[in-house]
Amino acid sequence: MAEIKAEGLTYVYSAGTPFEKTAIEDVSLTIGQGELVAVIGHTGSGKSTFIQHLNALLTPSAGRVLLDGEDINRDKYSRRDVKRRVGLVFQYPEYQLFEETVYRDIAFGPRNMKLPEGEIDERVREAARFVGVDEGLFEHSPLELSGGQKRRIAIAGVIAMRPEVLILDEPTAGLDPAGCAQLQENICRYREETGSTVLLVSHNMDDVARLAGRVVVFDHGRVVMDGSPAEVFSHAGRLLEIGLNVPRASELALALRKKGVPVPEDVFTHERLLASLLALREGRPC
Amino acid sequence: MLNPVIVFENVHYTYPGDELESLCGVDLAIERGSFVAVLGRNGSGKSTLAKHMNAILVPTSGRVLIDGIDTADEAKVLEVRRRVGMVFQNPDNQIVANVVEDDVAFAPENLGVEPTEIRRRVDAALALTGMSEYSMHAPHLLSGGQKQRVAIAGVIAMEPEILVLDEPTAMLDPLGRKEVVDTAYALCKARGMTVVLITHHMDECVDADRLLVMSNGSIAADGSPAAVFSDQALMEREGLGVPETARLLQALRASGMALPEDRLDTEGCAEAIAQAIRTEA
Repeated sequence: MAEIKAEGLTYVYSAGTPFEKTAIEDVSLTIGQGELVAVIGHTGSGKSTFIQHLNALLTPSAGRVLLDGEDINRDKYSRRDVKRRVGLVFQYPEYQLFEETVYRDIAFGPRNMKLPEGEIDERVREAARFVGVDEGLFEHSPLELSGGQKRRIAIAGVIAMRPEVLILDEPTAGLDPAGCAQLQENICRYREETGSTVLLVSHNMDDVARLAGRVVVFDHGRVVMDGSPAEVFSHAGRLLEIGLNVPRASELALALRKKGVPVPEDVFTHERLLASLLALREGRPC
Repeated sequence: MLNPVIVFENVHYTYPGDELESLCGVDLAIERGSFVAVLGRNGSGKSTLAKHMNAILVPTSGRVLIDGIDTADEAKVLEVRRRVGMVFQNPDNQIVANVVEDDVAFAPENLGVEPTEIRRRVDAALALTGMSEYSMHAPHLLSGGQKQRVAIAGVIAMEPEILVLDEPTAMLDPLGRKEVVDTAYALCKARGMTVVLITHHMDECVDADRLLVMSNGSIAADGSPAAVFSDQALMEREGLGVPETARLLQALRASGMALPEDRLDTEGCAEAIAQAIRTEA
């Protein structure tokens, strides 16, 4: 269940006007059940346009999106269905909170699905637990909570729909380092416990290196790299060229190689870099 | 300290309605023309500290002196604000006009500056922030980093001596972050402006003259970035990461390599390690 496939996906903004702009072009990609995929690319590379196709927020100008082999834009029923199965958390979702209490905000999605009250309650509690929101906050107004808590509640609202695919656009932007780490842990746990597929849009390459099993790189509306973090980050020079960052350890490894220290190209974490340098020092292969 | 421009004397502050203090007796003197970075987790008091620097907040007890002026003196609030320019997190909340140069001119116009002088200041501020070629653009069509540089230009046009930036890069992508941080460093190094940068990003602090870590309303650490980052127990306790360069240098030193602590920029760190490996071989 829940395999997402993009076939020749193309999207043109403002087609037929002087402002016509091709945002993504001929993107083909299959994301399997349970994968944790990081989608990276600089601002304007097409990554946001791409993820908005995955739950039918945008309709392709050409090409198709298949969820378990079925075209999600087949008819209005399939388009509604996909919005439940593929949950999309936008950037700064805390600006979209609107209900009077935390509980009602998280319950909004399940209630729209016309679920029985008992199941709504179960889902709200489960979603709150996943994101680490204490039930004692349920009757508070979401607007009086801290930024980090608001962010969690907004994400819980999407998780309460029990999406099979969870897509998060920069979920940790603006949080402090401890808040980032905690939220990432919550997202990973959600994936492990539910077997959901997770797509993460991020600018923070250290996070990508640590969390993702696969990295997809967008540039100028196309997928230019797709592979494991080790494969993708071994092209550190190329990534820097297209305006992206690389993990700090990759950046240092690149600088070291330029100075004649033969650190292997696929080093992208602190541990590997340290181990390579220690090995070099003792004359062992790294 | 030779010439402190910002002085905090035993500053306590409690937000109205709060029981806990947000600043608990802060003593601090910031040297004129220096670049000071401030780290600390959410709720540690960083922003409260910043807001005391231009009299948005005044101490519940203790005092803050800007260039010798007490910020609690209501008659002198404008003088304080003319000396201290502030830039906040969200560029969209700080831009008021439809054309970049009108936005930059907004504050000096309000201060009643002569039109020819306004022209001079706007041109200078846009040049300093690298935004001259966008002077006639519409701000809402600029990138996040460009908008934030327009906001900085608007503050510089008031010709402040001190620039306080409260998480100016939190909402920006890596390219935008670099533009804004480079601009802040350039204003300090080339123009001698005193800069206080509040941030969550360790790598933005690496080149600062001085790094403060705030914790529960107090200053938990104060020193050079190299000295502060080498205190790993403190950084962990405060929920802050350590830059990869500092972490690597420390781990290699621990295993017996002769390396300095203070080469925290990527190039310098790589050079130091390459040199140490050559020397040993």
